[in-house]
Amino acid sequence: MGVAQSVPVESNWIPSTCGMCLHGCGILVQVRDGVALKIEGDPSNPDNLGKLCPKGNAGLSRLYDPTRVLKPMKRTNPQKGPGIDPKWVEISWDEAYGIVAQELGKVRADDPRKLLCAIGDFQRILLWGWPAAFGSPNFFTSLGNYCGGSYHPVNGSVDGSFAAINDYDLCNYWIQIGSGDGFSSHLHLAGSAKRMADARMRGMRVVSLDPRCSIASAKADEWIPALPGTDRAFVLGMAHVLIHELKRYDREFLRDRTNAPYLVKNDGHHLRSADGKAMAWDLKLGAARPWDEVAAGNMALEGTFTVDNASVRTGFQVWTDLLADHTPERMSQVSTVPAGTIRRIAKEFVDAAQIGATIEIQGKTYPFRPAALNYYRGSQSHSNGLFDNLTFKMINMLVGNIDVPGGHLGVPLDHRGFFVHPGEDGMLKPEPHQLHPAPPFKYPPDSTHLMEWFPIGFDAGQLNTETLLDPKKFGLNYEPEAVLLYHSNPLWNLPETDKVEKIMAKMKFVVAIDIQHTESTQWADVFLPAHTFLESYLLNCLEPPAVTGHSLRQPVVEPVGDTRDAYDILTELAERMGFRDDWNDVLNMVCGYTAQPKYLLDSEKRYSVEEFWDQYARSVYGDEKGLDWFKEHGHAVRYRTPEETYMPYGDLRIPFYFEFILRTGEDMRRNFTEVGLKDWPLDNYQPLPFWKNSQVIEDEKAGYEYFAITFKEGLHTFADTMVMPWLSEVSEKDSVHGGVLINSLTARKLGLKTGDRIRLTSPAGSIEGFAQVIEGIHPQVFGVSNTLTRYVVTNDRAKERGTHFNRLLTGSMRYTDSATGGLESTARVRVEWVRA
Amino acid sequence: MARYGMVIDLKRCIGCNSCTLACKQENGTPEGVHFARVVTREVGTYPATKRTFLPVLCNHCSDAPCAEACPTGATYIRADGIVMVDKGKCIGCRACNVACPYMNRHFVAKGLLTGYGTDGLTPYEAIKFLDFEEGTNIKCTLCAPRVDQGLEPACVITCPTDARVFGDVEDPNGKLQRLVKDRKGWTLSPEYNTKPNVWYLDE
Amino acid sequence: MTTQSVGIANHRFAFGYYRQTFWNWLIGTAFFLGGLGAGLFVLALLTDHTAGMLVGYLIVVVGKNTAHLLFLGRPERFWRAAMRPDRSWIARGIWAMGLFAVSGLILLLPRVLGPAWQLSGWLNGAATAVAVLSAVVIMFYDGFVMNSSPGVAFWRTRLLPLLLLMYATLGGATLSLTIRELRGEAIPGFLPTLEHGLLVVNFVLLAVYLARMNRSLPAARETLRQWLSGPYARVFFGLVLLVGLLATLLLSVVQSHVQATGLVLLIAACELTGDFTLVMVLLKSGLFPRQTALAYSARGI
Ligand SMILES: Nc1nc2c(c(=O)[nH]1)N[C@H]1C(S)=C(S)[C@@H](COP(=O)(O)OP(=O)(O)OC[C@H]3O[C@@H](n4cnc5c(=O)[nH]c(N)nc54)[C@H](O)[C@@H]3O)O[C@H]1N2
Ligand SMILES: Nc1nc2c(c(=O)[nH]1)N[C@H]1C(S)=C(S)[C@@H](COP(=O)(O)OP(=O)(O)OC[C@H]3O[C@@H](n4cnc5c(=O)[nH]c(N)nc54)[C@H](O)[C@@H]3O)O[C@H]1N2
Ligand code: SF4
Ligand code: SF4
Ligand code: SF4
Ligand code: SF4
Ligand code: SF4
Ligand SMILES: [Mo]
Repeated sequence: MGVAQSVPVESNWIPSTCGMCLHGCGILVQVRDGVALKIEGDPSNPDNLGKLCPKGNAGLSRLYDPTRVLKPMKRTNPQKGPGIDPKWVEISWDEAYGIVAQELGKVRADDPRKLLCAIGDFQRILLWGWPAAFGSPNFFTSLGNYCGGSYHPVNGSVDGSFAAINDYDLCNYWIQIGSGDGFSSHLHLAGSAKRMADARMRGMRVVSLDPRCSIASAKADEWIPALPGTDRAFVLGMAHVLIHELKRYDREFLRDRTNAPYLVKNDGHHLRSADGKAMAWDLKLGAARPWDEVAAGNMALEGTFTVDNASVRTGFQVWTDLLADHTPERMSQVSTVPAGTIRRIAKEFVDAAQIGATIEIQGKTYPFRPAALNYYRGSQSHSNGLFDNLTFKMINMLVGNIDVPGGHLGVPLDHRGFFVHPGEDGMLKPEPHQLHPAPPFKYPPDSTHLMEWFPIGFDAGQLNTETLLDPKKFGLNYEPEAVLLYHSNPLWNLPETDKVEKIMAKMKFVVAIDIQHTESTQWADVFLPAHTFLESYLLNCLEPPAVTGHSLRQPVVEPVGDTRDAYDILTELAERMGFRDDWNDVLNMVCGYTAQPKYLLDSEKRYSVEEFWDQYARSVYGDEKGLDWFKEHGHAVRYRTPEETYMPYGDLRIPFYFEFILRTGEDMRRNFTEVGLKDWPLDNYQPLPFWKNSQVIEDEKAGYEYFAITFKEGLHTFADTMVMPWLSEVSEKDSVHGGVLINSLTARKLGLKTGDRIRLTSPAGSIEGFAQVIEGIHPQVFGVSNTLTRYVVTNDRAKERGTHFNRLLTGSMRYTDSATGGLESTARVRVEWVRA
Repeated sequence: MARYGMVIDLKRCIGCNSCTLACKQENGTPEGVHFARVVTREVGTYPATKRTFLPVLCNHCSDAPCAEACPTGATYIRADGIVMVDKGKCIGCRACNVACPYMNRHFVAKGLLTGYGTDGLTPYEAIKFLDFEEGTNIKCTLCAPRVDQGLEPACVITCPTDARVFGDVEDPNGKLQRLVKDRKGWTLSPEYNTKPNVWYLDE
Repeated sequence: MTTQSVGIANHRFAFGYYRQTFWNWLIGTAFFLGGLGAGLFVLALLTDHTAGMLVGYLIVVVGKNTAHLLFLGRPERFWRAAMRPDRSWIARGIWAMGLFAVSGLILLLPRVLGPAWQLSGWLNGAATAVAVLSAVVIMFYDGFVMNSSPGVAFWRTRLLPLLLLMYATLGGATLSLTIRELRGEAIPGFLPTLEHGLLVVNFVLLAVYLARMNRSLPAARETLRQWLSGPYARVFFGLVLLVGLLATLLLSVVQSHVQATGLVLLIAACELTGDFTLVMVLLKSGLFPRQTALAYSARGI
C-alpha cells in the first residue's frame, strides 16, 4: 500500500536550535544515514513549545541549498563593482587564510582602525568583539540600529531591559504600534504566535496602528492606519486625553515608582539639595525636601511651586504643560487618525488598565494593569526615534503598567536578566548600552560610525555613508582600506547604496565569511564559507520573552561542503595575524569571565569550538553542565519566575523625567564646543518627548508627496531568505509580496494598475518596481515588503521581483536621531509610472 | 474505527504558512506542489479592510469524488477515513484531479522530480523523492505514516497558534465534535456533496 | 464589508476560480476522435459501407487510444484503468473500447480480407450487436466521464453525454458524407437530412445546456459567463456556433443544390472544427469552485 518510504522509524532526533532568524527556537532534527530529513519544534523547550514558524520549517532548504558556497574561493577578476562577476576560483583553506591574514595583517600593522567590520550574527553576539581584538572600533552595517537604534537605549534606561513585550498571559487590551509581535516578526515568532493566539482566545482585544494592514492589523479587533512616523502624535494625543481631559492616570505608580514627582527647574534640571539630592514637594510641609525625606503619601505629583523665588514644577507637571496643546485635534492633523479615534482608544486603554487593581501571584501581591501598548521597528525607527520610544514608554507609565502583571514587560538581552543597578536619587541606573560599554567622547573620533559621539545611542552604522566619503569633515584622521563581512549584508541593509558602493570601490581588500553570495560578498576578494546553523555550535539565549536559559545549537550532520564554523574562522585569522591572545582577552570580557576568574580563557591557548562553548556553558550553569550536558539535554530553558519578570527594579524608581538625557546632551555640547564643532545637531537630547516634525515630514515641502515604508512578514528573515525557493515560492503567491503596495484610491488617482512599472524617487535615490494595488495600506503610503528588497541574488525567481528599498533612505545626520543615532527608515517619495 | 479529520480555527490562524512549510519538509513534495496551503484574500475597502487566511488541505472526504472517479482503484479510502493513493496502481489519468473540487490532487508530471536546484537532487530530496513516481498522482495523506505511529500530522504539531486540531471526527465526546458544535463549524463547498472531514471555525 | 470581485486564480493559494488544466488537448483529441470514429462506424455499419466502417474503426482504435496513451502518466499500466467498471466511467469506457476493438475487427475482417473470414450467422449477429452497442457507448461515455468529475461544475449535467452523443452522430454523418463524396459513391438520401437535422438539434441542445448552466453552481455560471462574454466568447460564437453549426448548415443547404467536392470538404472542415472546438472549450473552460466559496461568500465578507 502507498505508505511513504520516509517514515521516521530508525532515525535519530538531535536536539538543537533554529538559526533561521536571530531568535533561536528549540528544535529537534531527524537524521537518517547522515541526511537531515526533518526539523520539528522541541516540545520540551518552553520558548517555542514545539512550534516553528515557516522559516524554521524551511531550515533544511538552507542546509542543502544548491546555491550555497561550499569551498573557499578567491576572486580572479580584479575589477569590482555591482553586477561584475568576481570570477571566483576555488582555493584551499590554507591559501584562503594565508591571503586574508597577509592582507588584513598589513592593515593591522599600519592602523587597525582601517578595517571596517560588518558582523551581524545576533545568535553569536559573543563573537562581535573580534574587531576590538583586531583593534578596529568600526561598525559598517545597519543592523540593530535600523530597528533598535533608539529602542534598546530607552528600554535599558527605563528598566534595564533590552526589549519589551506586553504580558501575553494577563493583558486584556493590547495596542500594537508598528510591530509584528505575536503575528509575524520580532521576538521569537513561533512561540509568541501561540501566546498571542491564546490571549486573543481568552478575549484580549488587539488594536493595531500601522500604515499597512499587517498580519497584526488583519487579526486585530481594530486596525488604525496612520501616516508613517506619526505614531508618536497619536500616542501624545492619547496622553493629552488621559492627563488633560479624563484626568485618569496611575498617580500612585507615578508618585512612588518613578521620578515624576521630582522637582524640575526652568533650565530642565532637577532642583537639588546642597548635597546634590533631587528634591520633591512635601505637601504636608508645603516645602521642597530631598526626595528621600518626603513621606510616601506626601509627595506632590502635580503642581508648580515657588522655591527661592524661582518657579519649579514636578516632572509630571512639566510634561502636563508640554502636552497642553497636543490635543487630539492637532495630533489628528499630523497622523490622519481622527481625533475621535484617539479619544476613544485613550478611554478604552485607561478603562482596561484597571488602575488601582492588584493581583496575587504565587503568594505575592502585585499591581494588576491588564492594558499595554507594545511597539517596535516600524513605529520608532525614525529620526525622532528617541521621542517615539519615550512616548510609548510613558503612555504605559501613565497607567502604571511597567513590568507589572498584565502590563508592558521588559525583556532582557539574555540569561543575565535585567541590568538593575542603583543609580542616583533612588533610581535605577540607566543602561542605554548593553552590547558594549558606552564609549567616551573623542575628537578626532576613532570610529567611522562616530560611536564616540553617541553616548546613549546604539551604533549608527548608516553614518558611514557620510563619514567615509568625506572623512576630514568629521575629523577622521585615517581612511579605511579593508572590510570584513560576517553574517551581514551592508550593501543591502545600509541606506544610500550608491554611496556604499563608492566606499566599497575604495577598499583594497574585502573578505566575506558567509554561506552564500550576496550584494556584499560580490565585492569580496576572498570568500570563507561558513557552516549553516545545522552544522555548527553555539549556546543561544537572545531576547527571549517569557523564558530564560540557553539552548544548544549543535551540528546535526557532517558539513555539506568544505565549510568551517565562524568561531574557528575568526580564531584562525586572529592566530595567523598574531592576536589570538587579545582575542581570548576580549572573549574573557564579553563572556563575563573577568568576573569569574575560574573560567578565564588562557590567552596562550587555542580553544576549539567545542572547548569554547563548553567553557561558556560551565561558566553559566556550573561545571556539571558543560557542552556534554547540553548535547544530551538540548537546552536549559525555563519560564522566568514572577520575581524575575515583575518589577525587577525592586524599590528603585524608574525615570519618567529623563534628566540624564538632557545632561548627556549638555555634556556633548560642551565637548563639541571644546573641539570647535559648533553645528553638530544635539536637539534631541530632551528630558521629555513632544511633537516636532521630522525631516521626512518636512520633505513634503520639496515635492515629495508620498511616504514609502518597508516591512517584514513571517515567511522571511529580512530579504535574506527570499533566495530560498521553499519560502519564496510561497511568498510570491501573497499579494503583499507581489510588488510595491499602493492603495486602490491612490492607484486610481495616478492611473496605475497592478503590474505597472513604477518609480519611487526620494531625496536620496530612486527605485523601480511593479505596482501591486491593494486596499490595506494608507492612501499616502507605498509599501515595499522586505521580501522584494534584494537586487543581487543567486536565484532567478527572486531576481525579477527585486526592488531595493534602502536606496530611498538617507544616512546623514538630518535623517538620524541626534541623541541615539537611530536611523530614519521611512522615506518621502515622488511616484512616476515608468513606460516600458 | 476512528474517522480522522481536522478542525481549523480561523480565529487563531494568522496565515503564517508554517503548515505549508511543515508539510513541504515532512513530505518533500516537488517544486510547486503544496498539500497544505493558505488561501489569502483581502476583503473590504479601505479603511474597513481585512486580510483573511484560509488554510486548506485534503478534506479526506467521506464521499470522496476523487476515489469515486479513479478507474484503477489507486485512490482508496482507508478504514480510518484517510484518502490515499497507491502509486503502484496509478496510471496518471488525472480523473481524480478534475474530480476534486478543492484542487487537492497533484500530478507528478515528467521532469518534476529533478529537485529545486539545477544540478540534481540534494541528499534530502534523493531520499524524499523515493516516495514519488513520475506520471502518478499525489496528495495529502493526512500524514498517515505519522498517524500510524500515533503521531499527529506535521502541519498540526507545528502550527504556531494551535489553530489546527487533529483527531477522530466521529467521536461524539471528542474534541473535534465539541469544537464544531460549540463554534458552529462548517466545511468547504458543501454544495459539492463531498462530506469533508476538515472543519472550519469562524474568525 | 463588501466583497471584492472574484477573478480567476492563477495558483492554488489564491482565492478565485481556478482553471481546469489537468485534462489538456490530448484528452480533447481523444474525446473528439472517439465520438467521431464511433459515430462514423455506426452510420457506416447501418448503411453497409465498408470504407466508412474501416475509417471509423481506425479513428477509434488507433486515434483515440493513441491520444489516451500519450496522455497517461503511466501508459504501461493502462490496463489498470479497466479495474473499476462498477463505479468509473473511464473503466466502463475501456471495456467498451475493448469490446469495440474485437467486435469491430470481427465485422471488418471478412469485408476487407474476404468472405473466408466470415463468422457463422449468429456469431456475426452477436458481433454486430456488440459493435453497435459499444460504439454507441463510445459516442457518449466521455460525457459521463466528464460528468462524474464533480470538481468542474460546468460538466455536472446529464446533458453532456447527450450532447456528445449528438455531436458524435453529427461528426459521423459529416465524415460519412465526405468519404462517399471523395470515393464518388452514391449518398443515401437520409444522410443529408440527418446532417441538417442534427445541426439544428445540436444548436438547440447547446442552448438548453447553457440555459441549464445558468441555474447551476457559481463556478458553472462563471464558465457560462466566460463563454458568452469572456475569454471563450470568440471561439464559442465564432467557431462552435458560426462555423461549426451555422456555416455548416448553410453550406450543406447550398451543397444539396450545387454538387462540388471542394464544397463537401469545406463543410467537413467547418463541422469538424466546430465539433473539436466545442470539446476543447468544454474542457478548457472548466472551473473549480472558488477555494473558499463557502468560507467567505456565504458569510457575507
Ligand atoms: N519574520 C521575521 N521576524 C523577524 C525578522 C525578520 O526579518 N523576519 N527580523 C528580526 C529583527 S532584526 C527585527 S528588528 C524585528 C523587527 O520586527 P518588527 O518591528 O515587528 O518588524 P517590521 O516589519 O520591520 O515593522 C513592523 C511594522 O511596522 C510597520 N511600519 C512601517 N513604518 C511604520 C510607521 O511609521 N509607523 C507604524 N506604526 N508602523 C510602521 C510595518 O508595516 C510593519 O508591519 O523582527 C525580528 N524578527
Ligand atoms: N529594506 C529593509 N532593510 C532592512 C530592514 C528592513 O526591514 N527592510 N531591516 C533592518 C534590520 S531591523 C536589520 S537587523 C538589518 C539586518 O541586516 P543583516 O545584518 O544584513 O541581516 P542578517 O540576516 O543578519 O545577515 C544577512 C547575511 O547573513 C548571511 N548568513 C545567513 N546565515 C548565515 C550563517 O549561518 N553563517 C554566516 N556566516 N552567514 C550567514 C546571509 O547570507 C547574509 O549575507 O537589516 C535592516 N535592513
Ligand atoms: S522564530 Fe526564528 S528561531 Fe523561531 S522557528 Fe522561526 S526562524 Fe526559527
Ligand atoms: S500554521 Fe497554523 S496559524 Fe499558520 S497558517 Fe497554518 S493553520 Fe494558520
Ligand atoms: S478533498 Fe479532494 S482529494 Fe481530498 S478526499 Fe476530497 S475530493 Fe479527494
Ligand atoms: S491519476 Fe491515478 S489516482 Fe488519479 S484517478 Fe487516475 S489512476 Fe486514479
Ligand atoms: S496532514 Fe500531513 S500531508 Fe496533509 S497537509 Fe498536513 S502535513 Fe501535509
Ligand atoms: Mo533588526
